Amino acid sequence: MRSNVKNVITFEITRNLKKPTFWIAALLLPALLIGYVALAGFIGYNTGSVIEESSDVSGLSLGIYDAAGYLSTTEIVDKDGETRALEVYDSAEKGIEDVKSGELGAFYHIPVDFAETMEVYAYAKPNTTSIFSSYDGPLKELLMVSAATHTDPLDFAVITNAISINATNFATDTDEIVDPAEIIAKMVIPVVGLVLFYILIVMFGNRLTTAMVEEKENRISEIILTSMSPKDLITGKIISLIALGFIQLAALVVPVLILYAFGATQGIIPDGIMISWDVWTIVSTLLLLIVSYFLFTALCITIGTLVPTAKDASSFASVVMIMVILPLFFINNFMSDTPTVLTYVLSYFPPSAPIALMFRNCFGTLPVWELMLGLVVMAVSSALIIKLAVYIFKRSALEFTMKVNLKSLLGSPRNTWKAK
Amino acid sequence: MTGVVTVKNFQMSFAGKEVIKDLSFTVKKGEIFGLLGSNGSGKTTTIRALLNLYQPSGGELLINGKAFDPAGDFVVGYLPEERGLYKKETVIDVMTYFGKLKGLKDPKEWSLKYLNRVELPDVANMAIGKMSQGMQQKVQIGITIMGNPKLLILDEPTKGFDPVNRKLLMDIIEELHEKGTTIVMITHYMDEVERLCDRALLLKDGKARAYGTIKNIRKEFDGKTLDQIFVKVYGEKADAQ
Repeated sequence: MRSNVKNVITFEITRNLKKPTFWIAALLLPALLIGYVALAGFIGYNTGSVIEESSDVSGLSLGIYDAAGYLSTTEIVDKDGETRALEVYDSAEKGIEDVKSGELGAFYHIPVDFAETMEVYAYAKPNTTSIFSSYDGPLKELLMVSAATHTDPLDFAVITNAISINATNFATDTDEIVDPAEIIAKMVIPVVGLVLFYILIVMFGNRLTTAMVEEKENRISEIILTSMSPKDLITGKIISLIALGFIQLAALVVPVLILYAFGATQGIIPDGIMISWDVWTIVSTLLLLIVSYFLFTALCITIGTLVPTAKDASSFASVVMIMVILPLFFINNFMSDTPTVLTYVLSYFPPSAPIALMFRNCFGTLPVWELMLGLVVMAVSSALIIKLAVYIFKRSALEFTMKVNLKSLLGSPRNTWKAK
Repeated sequence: MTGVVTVKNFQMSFAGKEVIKDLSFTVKKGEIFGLLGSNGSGKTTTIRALLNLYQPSGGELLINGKAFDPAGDFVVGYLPEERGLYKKETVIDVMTYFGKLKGLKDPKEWSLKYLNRVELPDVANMAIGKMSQGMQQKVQIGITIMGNPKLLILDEPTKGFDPVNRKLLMDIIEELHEKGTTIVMITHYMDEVERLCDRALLLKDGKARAYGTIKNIRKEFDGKTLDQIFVKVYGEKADAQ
């Protein structure tokens, strides 16, 4: 008695890896991601440099006319730490004329009714690189310094949001002090797991549902089923599709990890990005990702056994996709430490379990026993769904044009090959 | 004596309609057996039930004394009426895959030798979908005879084949027959049956209308040719209607 599972896996993996489309799909997302980051960096760099350049008014002559008499000083500190005084005008018209003629870089006017209107005016003749800028930096500085002299220092600090709040957070179930940054750091890996699962189902959903249709569409079923058991075929297909999914995922994750490691060693990772490399978090996230994808694959494969063509498979696939992403609409339920009935239903109903459990894993509201139970439920469901797929495929393999109906599944004489 | 194929009291119904009624026959080791009948007479259904693709409503269908198991050691070559291949894959990849499924030790080498024999040495790396129908038929024949099958079942083997491939298939059938392979052939070409088959069964309305050696069948019908017998048997139906 020979098993052909290994032969199916080798064939399916090899032929997919040989296809340029597989690698295009695998590398497209990382390429887009890198392109996006590079573009964002480039724009950020250029925008930053424009602003910096235009905010740097050290090379410009500045003038001011304070008709309201509000300012307590007309001196500013430029970016080099040097103090410089603005040229004081005795009329707004003269300052504006000087800007127009190019004698003055920028001119500020504080009108007489400033206390009522709270409006001030800035005049400049911007050059082409200063389109993102206004020349208001020195004026704001002057107003701020003057305001501080008019107001009580404490009131000034409160108004300008300069008060430092020292927050202490306690854990919900213990009296321990927790650091919010630490909580966010712990969420990073589970969130990445959730995002990767989402990428997998979006990238692979269609391929998974059409995987079992190919044999029917190309009239290969009869030859295949006289060469191996349907159980071998379906098991082999599922294993190879899972492997292909993770190969594509690796193509996405590995470059990101390399970039992260490089960034960390070079000290160019921003301080705000903190990741908790807790072993249990990594293990639980990986387990959830693998078992969830296994379940999703089994669901899609089963749909493929029901229908004769790829077109028919697509319409069924959307129904599965909706059930899988259902928890997205009830995200608030997963944040609470006190689960509702809906939380439990979504966590243990097989199609919605992957995303529901992953959400709870992200928010830290998934106790270990529930994680284990969820993994067992998903694994057992997958096994039963695969058994169902084998049962259906045995009955539908020779239906080259018609969808399988309930009557043909339950009653009509079709093959009842016992799964070997 | 137990034949390579044993069908006992086989019955088959689809949606309440009985298409095969108590059919029994055996195919002896090493013979070429013709399974004859008009379209819809139940020939393909019988073969599918024999290969465990359909569950019979009643009776027993055995290959080498057991219900057919694709994972078993008794290699069966089957050329179905509905035939196709993985169109996007290369010839050598598909042939190697099927060779592995049938337990060939060196499927690639076997495939290359076969392609050479059928004068297709240059198509090994060509996608099947890009080949002509005739070329695809040759690949299909190759896959059918892989792994030295002890039983070869051919469902309308020359249907859609061009004369070159038809001759190739006939040569292969004769060659395998000489090596002792048992062959079951479903065909509408009575000349092929008279030329190749040792025995035959003529199915009509789900029952065996004639069964035995070609010589005895002809004797039973007053020395008529198989073509004439076929017309007479199915003419009875027309007359009755």
